[in-house]
Amino acid sequence: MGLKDSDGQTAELVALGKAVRRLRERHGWVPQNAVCFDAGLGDGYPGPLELGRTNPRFLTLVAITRTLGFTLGDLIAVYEHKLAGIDPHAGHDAPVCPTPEALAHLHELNTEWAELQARALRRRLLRRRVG
Amino acid sequence: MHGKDRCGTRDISREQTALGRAVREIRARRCLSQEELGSDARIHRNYVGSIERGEMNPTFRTLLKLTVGLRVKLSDLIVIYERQLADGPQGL
Repeated sequence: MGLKDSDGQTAELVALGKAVRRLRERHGWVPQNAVCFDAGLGDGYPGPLELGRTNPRFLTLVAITRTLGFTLGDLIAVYEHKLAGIDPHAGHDAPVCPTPEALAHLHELNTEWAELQARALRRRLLRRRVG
Repeated sequence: MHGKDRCGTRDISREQTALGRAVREIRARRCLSQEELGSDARIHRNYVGSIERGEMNPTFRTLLKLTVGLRVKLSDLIVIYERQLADGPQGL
């Protein structure tokens, strides 16, 4: 997906960068490096991020939005708005299909998960008794 | 950015866990196996598994690939993620 230009930037990353910049603006133009510092990121990090030159990790985005006093949902809402401006054909609006089979599958996953947890607990208890 | 995200590790793994649960929830709603999601999203199925278990801190592009495979908008994934985050560890 995505329009790629010569820089290796994609429409998505540019839109994300613009969204981060927009939130920083709304927060009252905090200096970029102050944002980095508060978010526990390296010096000068949002520079390239705001230009769409980096592909940030999930937790980096969580840290930045939290530092600016927003949620990840806020950032993504702005991001989708910006992306629609850059690339109107981006985004997918497939209908959601919560079928009975899907619900059964989810139930199965939950049971499996509960079983794993129970087994782990039993193992831990057993180890404690032995030790 | 990679190694430096560890400010308050406990908080952060909570977020990765919530993201993983959100991915799993949508995948279940779509009736997709990890393998099918992996091939639709062009991600290795083991990687899908470790994201779902909250062991990975995926990049933004990887998140976008996941949304392609799951056929949702990124904002939909994030809504479910935020719900999972609010529900806490016993959410699923």
